Amino acid sequence: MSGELKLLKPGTYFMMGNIACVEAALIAGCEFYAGYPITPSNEIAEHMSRRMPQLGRHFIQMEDEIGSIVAVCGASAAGVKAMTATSGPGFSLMMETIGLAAMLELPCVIVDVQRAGPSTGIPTFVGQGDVMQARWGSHGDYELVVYAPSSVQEFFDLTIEAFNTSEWLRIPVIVLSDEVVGHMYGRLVVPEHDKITIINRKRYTGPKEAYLPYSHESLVPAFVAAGDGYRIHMTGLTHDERGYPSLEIEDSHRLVERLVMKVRKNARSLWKYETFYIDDADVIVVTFGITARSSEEAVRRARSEGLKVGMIKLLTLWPFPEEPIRIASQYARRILVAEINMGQLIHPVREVAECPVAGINYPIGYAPPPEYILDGIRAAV
Amino acid sequence: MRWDIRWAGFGGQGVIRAGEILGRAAVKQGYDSSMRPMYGPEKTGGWSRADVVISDEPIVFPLIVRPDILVVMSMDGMIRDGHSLKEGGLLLVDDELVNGLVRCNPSKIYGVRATNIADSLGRRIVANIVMLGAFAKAVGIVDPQKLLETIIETFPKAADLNRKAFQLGMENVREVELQPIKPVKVAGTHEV
Repeated sequence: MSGELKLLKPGTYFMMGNIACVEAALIAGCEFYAGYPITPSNEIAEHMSRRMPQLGRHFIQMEDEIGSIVAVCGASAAGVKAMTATSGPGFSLMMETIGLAAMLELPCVIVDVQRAGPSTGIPTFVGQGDVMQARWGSHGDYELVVYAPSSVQEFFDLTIEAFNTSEWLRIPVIVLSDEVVGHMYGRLVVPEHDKITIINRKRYTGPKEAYLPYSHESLVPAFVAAGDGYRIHMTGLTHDERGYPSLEIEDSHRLVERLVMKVRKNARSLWKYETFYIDDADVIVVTFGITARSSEEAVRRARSEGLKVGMIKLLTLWPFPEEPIRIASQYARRILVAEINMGQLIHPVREVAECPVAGINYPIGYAPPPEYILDGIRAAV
Repeated sequence: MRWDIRWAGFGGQGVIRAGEILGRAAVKQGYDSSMRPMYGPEKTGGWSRADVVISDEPIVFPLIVRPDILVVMSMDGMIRDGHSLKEGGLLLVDDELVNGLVRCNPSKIYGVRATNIADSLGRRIVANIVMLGAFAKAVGIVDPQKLLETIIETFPKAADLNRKAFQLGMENVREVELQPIKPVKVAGTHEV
């Protein structure tokens, strides 16, 4: 039986978010998983350990999260699609190497199923405290893409999207899920596989002598795998187009600018968001993840009370979807940012909004009930 | 129409598995459904709960604040989650293990000695399936045939045992009376 036949078949399922993420990764072509178990992301590693061998692909349980992300980088350098999944403390451990993946331009996917923090926190309870860490957690100047699903279906769809984006731009992409979306079972519709877009990294096919692994000719250099017979050199040190360490300021400028601009220049096509009732809204709730589900219910109830309230659900958190928020803020009187933390996403919203911005913060480790968001809305209108 | 159903018990009773099966059967029947498992750091013997939402419209908010229907498989579950039941909601209990009401005021109480029945089949592990049978009979919502089909699909190697357990649950559920008892504070009690 070929591998293709063993992928999750098209159809309607009732599935856990974490499992849907695994099946999506397999459909996207993920061939390597390295991870270290941590609640609430465990089901991803567990299911991967079962599914990868069935498909003749590779699963490794590593000694810790640092080993996991480094192994993922290695697999990506060898030319395969690779991912890992973790939560809270494990995500912190991965930070240094996420920067390495950005520097070496190794496509990979990191799933962070956020739990209540800080530190060990409450492993089985939800949090959304990693919004800033996902973007700024590694040192130095780089850009990456962060997607945030709010349902099992979105977890599936955005995992595929994460692989596509990472392959297209040669960057690490983070799927910032949360405990509820990860553990929750929900309806999942898997489309026909040939209707699912799959992107693979651009490969270099020219003459060996002319190959420059970090060419600045385009924003995303063409890839060759380690072992393909080309001369490649990879280092976390600032490097020139050949990949060799360089102390030249010009090399540094060109490299860092390219690492940043390949995301910034493509930001518009990376922004994913959904709007609800915003056409005549005085107050707009900006939110993501499981909080978006509470907020949508709250907005519906507010509408039934005659309050002019709308909502923007962000599926892409980074690069931050500046334009839709700015435009919405030119018509609304106030923006409310709902999140399960003491205020993180509110900062980029404030940076671009032209109206007052306030937070609806729910730090307790549970998803906020709709009443909680509704109280915030009532206070704002 | 939307039904909020909370299953409560302790880890090892199959509370979360029961919730998953109920949700899957609902989706098969054309409903939208979500199931949110919750448990503490310890699994077996610890706090365990499954929140199942079944709706004939797409579910916006997939979680439960005040369930319409509460299914309780242990006294611990009653102490922790009894208070969450909607005023006048429906309660289904393993009435051998749950012997009183704690801060809840249901309009109707159904009971089945699920653990006892499971023991009589030689496998305590099927208590949750007995409970699902009782649920199918006393509460409804999902077609019992669909529910049984889903159970058998989930455990294909133990089809006969589970079919019996489900059947006995349907046959033995009945309306019962429970008196309010004084709440006992247990460690890790959450007002969610």
